[in-house]
Amino acid sequence: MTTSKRPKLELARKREDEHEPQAGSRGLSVVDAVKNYIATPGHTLAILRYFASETPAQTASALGISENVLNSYEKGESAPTLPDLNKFAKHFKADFRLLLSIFGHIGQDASETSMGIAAQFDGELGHREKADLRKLVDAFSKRSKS
Amino acid sequence: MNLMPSKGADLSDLLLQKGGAREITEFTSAWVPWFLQKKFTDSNWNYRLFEWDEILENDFYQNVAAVDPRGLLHGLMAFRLRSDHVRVDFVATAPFNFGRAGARKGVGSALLSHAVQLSIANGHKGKLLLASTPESESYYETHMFRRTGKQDDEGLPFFELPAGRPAEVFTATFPPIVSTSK
Repeated sequence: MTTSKRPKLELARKREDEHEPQAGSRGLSVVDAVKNYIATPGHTLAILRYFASETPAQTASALGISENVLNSYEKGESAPTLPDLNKFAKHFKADFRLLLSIFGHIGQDASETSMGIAAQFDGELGHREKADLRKLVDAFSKRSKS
Repeated sequence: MNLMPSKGADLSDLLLQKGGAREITEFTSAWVPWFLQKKFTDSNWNYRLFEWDEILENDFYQNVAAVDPRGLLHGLMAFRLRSDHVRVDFVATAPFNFGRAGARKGVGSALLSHAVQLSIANGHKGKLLLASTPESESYYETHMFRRTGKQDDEGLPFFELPAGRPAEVFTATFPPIVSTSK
């Protein structure tokens, strides 16, 4: 019994050691932090690039977009297309849902399930998404008729 | 601007000073980007970002900032001296110190230990009161804080560090940052 408990105890101690206490507030959501402190959501893409230690040329090449387009996204001069946003998420291993949120594609409180197709967007609709979309359109058409 | 703190350093070279315009700049230019990139890339990272720019500008609170010799901001605490205790309104280590890969461990605890010393210096025998974030409740429970049974307006539970022996043990466990600049 002792041996089976020991790993759990060690894990608990390790967690405790790793923890830093916080107090005072539930804190800001990512969306609110971007709104409060970042001039444009596009700057967040530059932050992700900075922490990945990549030059604009490296990132643009990896994403298959031009440096001008990347520059335009990062400066907030244009909003990333959904396929490009998806590329950013995959390249930087970043949360696509959060990226969609800060660029205003989904509501802040949306859940994985309530976001539906948008959450699973992969640059192009797959068979399942197309089927879901077809069902949605069908359902809407039936309601419209009744 | 270098957002990368050095790893593995202890807390002995940290200085405590009053937070002001410089710390607000550090917060917005270093803490916020760190917070964002970690939130985007690590779903298990549960750091809470407080609006330190507003807190540090608010005369309602006193504050201390823990900074290293390079001027990098490692922790912040806002507090008030009350009639029989020190109320810790906000305390946080820097985002880059938080979690498994954190650069400097124990900054938050050292700041709380500083609050205990303020409490002792003001004749309150180390008594503290604070509202814990959900992830920190176990920390306070295992370090002799006790629940008061009340909550703040965000529903966070209040914890108090009782005066006397618990406070002494806390400061012995987590030595405060002693150097003070300015």
